[in-house]
Amino acid sequence: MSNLHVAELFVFIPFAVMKWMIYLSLTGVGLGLLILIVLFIRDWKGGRLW
Amino acid sequence: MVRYEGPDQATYLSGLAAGNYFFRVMAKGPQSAASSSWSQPFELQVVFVGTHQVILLSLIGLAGFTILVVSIMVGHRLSQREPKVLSS
Amino acid sequence: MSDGVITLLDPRLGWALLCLFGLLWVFLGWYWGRRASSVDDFLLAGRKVGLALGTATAMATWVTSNTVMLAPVFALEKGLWGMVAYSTASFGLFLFAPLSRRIRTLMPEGHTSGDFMRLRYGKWAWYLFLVISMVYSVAWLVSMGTAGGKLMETLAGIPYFHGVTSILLVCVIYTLFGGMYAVIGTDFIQSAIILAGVLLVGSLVVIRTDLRALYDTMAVEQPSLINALMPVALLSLFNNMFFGFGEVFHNNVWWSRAHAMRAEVAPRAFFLSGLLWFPIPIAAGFIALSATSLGVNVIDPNTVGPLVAGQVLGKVGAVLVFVVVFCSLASSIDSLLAATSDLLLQDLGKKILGISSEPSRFRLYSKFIIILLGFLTWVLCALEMDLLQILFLSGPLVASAIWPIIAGLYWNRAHWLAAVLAMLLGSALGLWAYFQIGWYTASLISSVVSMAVIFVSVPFCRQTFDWKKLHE
Repeated sequence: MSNLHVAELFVFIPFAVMKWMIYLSLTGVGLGLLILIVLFIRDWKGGRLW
Repeated sequence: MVRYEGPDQATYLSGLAAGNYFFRVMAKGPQSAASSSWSQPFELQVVFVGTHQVILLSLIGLAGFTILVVSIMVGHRLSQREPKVLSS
Repeated sequence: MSDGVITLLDPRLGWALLCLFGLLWVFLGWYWGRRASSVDDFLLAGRKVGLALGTATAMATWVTSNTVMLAPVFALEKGLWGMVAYSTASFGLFLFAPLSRRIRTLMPEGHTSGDFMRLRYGKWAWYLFLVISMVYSVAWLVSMGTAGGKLMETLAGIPYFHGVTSILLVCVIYTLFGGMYAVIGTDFIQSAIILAGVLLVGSLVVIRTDLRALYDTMAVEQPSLINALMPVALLSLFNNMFFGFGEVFHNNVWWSRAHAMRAEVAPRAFFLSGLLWFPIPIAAGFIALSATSLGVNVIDPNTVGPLVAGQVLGKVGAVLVFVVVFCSLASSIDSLLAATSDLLLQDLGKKILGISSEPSRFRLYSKFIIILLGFLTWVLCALEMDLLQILFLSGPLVASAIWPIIAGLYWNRAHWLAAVLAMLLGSALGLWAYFQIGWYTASLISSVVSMAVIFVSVPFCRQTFDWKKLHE
């Protein structure tokens, strides 16, 4: 047991996890862009940009 | 199994599981007929960091992280409760 | 790539993009810089920056050429966990949110992170802190310059020396014109371009590759990349996180931003910027996973991102990557130039060398230091000094400053000697771990050692610190 390496405890990350990780990260980046633009317009209209 | 065939003279390997791997190369001419024989295979051994070390360091990391987050949160709470002693 | 170098972009197109964006930044720097009427305006953008610009500037500064270039490398070497490990660097921004609030309350008139160390802990901790901070900042600055130069060469065949010179020249000029106003203004546009570019490249790669096939190829040829228990990836998770904490908590880039934003805006802006940053390394990194299934032969892992993007998306991909990398380089180089010259000016110039703080002279000095720092970076880059190694080595150094800063901000019983010892012992043991155990433990060990020193010292500290001393 003492010679056991973690690599031998091999647990595959399921495909679905990888897929959603990629989809969600792209969604996150898109949302981030949207948030920045909305905030910019809000600050600009309210004269709070600087 | 052929890993790569083409003009590049190097390659980069990653993500192999632990174990021993053997690689060999062959030169190929423009015509498929003119090719050398296989080189002597060379051995690559993939070894991972020991289990105990990983578990120990991960636990230390988790503990360090938890203490850090809790300290900042507690500090933040307490400092908000401080009346504005500083603005005087 | 071997001798017959095929660049992804026509050099003329590369130069055109470089000139176009360079001129745009310089013009905008000049345009926004006209707002700066006082020294405080020039250095801290009037201390009234709002949420939109504040969030964007924190995010863009944290998206360096490393994020865009190194996230794919992490994915290629450490797999899915590697990308998540990279994303944890955003936790630094999350946790800086409450710190920024405290900083603004304690030091409404403060300028730099050095100011805090000097007033809170006295000169020895301050000197040590300045050394750590300068090593890190210069290594960061130079490693970005060299990475940028190499990338321009790989992507568009622009000679290394020309690439480095133009990037640095553009950044120095617009920072010089507009100071913090220029830095924050351009950061907003750069953030938008970075986000849009990463989204576009990522989505196109998803559309054009079969994720299922990609996964199946990995399972056979690179199984460790999708191993939930990959040891190095697991370790790099915490190590990266502590490196990130050290970088954000100590560096004046972040402190000067906390001082530049409106007091009530700063915490929200830092938190939001962390949220915006979090998905970027995954979205920019996963494309490297498809290298094997696409049959792309990787020679130099450091260029895997652009290589795959170019392979899948052709010219469009190459242009997008070029623009995104140029924006992320500029947004970080300008911030570092501004914040580090501020640190040099306020701490070294005003407090140690005793230069005059008469406004017009002071502004002149600050411009002189920006030029000097830009020149120093250029020389180091031109010598092709690869400071990326130094940057990684500075991980344990900056991680040792985490606890002195947290304790200094929140506890009135943190002693100066404890802060000095925490930084010294943390750095020393962290560096030892770097060489003896592996890079993936250095920052972790450093921060834990420095934490232990601070915790042990508190019961012995008899004096309580008077927070009013932080008002200068």
